[in-house]
Amino acid sequence: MTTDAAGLATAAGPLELLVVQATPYCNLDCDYCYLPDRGDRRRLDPALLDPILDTVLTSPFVAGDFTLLWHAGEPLMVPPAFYDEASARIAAALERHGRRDLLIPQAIQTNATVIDDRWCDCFVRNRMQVGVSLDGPVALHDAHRRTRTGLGSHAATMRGIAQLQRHGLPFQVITVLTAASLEDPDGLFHFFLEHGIGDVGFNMEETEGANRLSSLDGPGLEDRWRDFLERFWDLCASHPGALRVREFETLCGQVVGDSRMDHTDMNRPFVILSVDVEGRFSTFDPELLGVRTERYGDFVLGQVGRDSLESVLTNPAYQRIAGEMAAGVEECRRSCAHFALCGGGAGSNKYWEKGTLAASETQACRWRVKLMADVVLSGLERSLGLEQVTAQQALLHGG
Amino acid sequence: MPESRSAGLLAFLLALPSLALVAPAASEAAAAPAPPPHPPEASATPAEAMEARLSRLSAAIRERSAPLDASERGALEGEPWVAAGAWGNGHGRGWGNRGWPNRVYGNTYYGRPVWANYRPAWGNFRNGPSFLNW
Repeated sequence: MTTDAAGLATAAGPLELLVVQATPYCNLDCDYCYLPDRGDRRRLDPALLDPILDTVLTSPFVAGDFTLLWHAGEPLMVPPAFYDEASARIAAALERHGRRDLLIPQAIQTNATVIDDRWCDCFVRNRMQVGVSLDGPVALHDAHRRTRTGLGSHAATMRGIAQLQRHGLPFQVITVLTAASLEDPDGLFHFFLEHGIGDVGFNMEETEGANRLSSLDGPGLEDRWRDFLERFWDLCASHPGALRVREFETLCGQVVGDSRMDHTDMNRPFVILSVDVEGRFSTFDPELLGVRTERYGDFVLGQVGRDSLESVLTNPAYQRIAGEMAAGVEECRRSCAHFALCGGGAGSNKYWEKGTLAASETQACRWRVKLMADVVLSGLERSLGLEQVTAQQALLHGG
Repeated sequence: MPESRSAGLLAFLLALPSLALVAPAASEAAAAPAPPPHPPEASATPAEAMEARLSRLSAAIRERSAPLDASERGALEGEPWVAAGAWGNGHGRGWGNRGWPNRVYGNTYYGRPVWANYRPAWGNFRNGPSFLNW
């Protein structure tokens, strides 16, 4: 096994996503959130972007464009001027490093509650990609996505969405599915259509970070999840093009393109770099940064301005994390029929469900990958008139 | 909202059976290649069974899309997933890893829809905006 930094660097990157924490603070206090410090009002000093970008652009892991995602807190809790300054600093960094060939688009995932004309102008000015967190109709959304005083946030989020639509700004929605969401796929589907929402990704409520209990941990819910997905597939099929579901589109893309996974962005080092509000950085799954664990510490691997990315590769803490991450992926590769569609999963799910990164199947992967794949592949087989591989056959073959 | 919106890859795939409804003449049918094989019960391992299942689906889609005439192909030209190389590259790469045309911010190519390229949604970080500018 190669242990020198140069050799290790060949098994890392290229960088696709730079996650930067503008602030840990969030104006909401969603009860399923994994972030531990969302009451912390610190803000990233915009000047810290210079050493962040210098650290990245002098590393061997930049092979092309990458996205800067403002995340790990509500990114609109800093003012629009913050992003104007960020854009200027990004442009200056590219100039400073002679990398005008690169594009570093900025993206945010927001609860949308404070989006107004001023913010929409900021998104246009800085060409920011916007994702909105919205759990569907008011009852589903407000059951979990509340302020610290217990007020629902649905109305404010819908006002923010209306602003985006009024300005002609595209956005995608991420919907966290809880046990209650599975009760009414028709209601959820038509809610999206009625509000002009065309792109949706489903996240599961997970036992993760500060969220120690998921409503999806209950008995019998896997069957309800399958029923929900099958119904949602049928609704998409009967309303062609009305709603694009991230998971369906992605799987269809893999089938059409004959593409297979060898790893994920979250289990190969330095495909993702996460930097917190103080400039401390980590890699692998962004949801691990700042989470304090007995086994792996807080996953902080270095500090921008002091440590290069490649210097981390020989750090014992990194090597333990990377070694166990790789062992988990290899176990997935060895044991799972769905590996070619999944690439070995996310370390955060493995850690929170199994207590170690050196693990394979999790409930998260059973739901997000295995059941999803079986519903999509069966749906395509049905549509194409192919003899279906039944769930029983899939099970027989390790599905 | 964007001036025009993609129907998405799923909508296209679900339309394939109807696109292929132009039945071949009897003589052509007789000479047609055998349909894709039955489900892979005999495969040796779970991974091989899944691979056989995926390959069978890919082959069926390629076969169904072959009869698309020029007008149907023309209708696909505005589809970002076609522009991004998701379709018809035939080299096993799947979704092309290119920039996508941005319909809001002008004609520049910027960004790419993370969950619509060749890396599946669950291979990416799941808490960020991803497929955009359709």
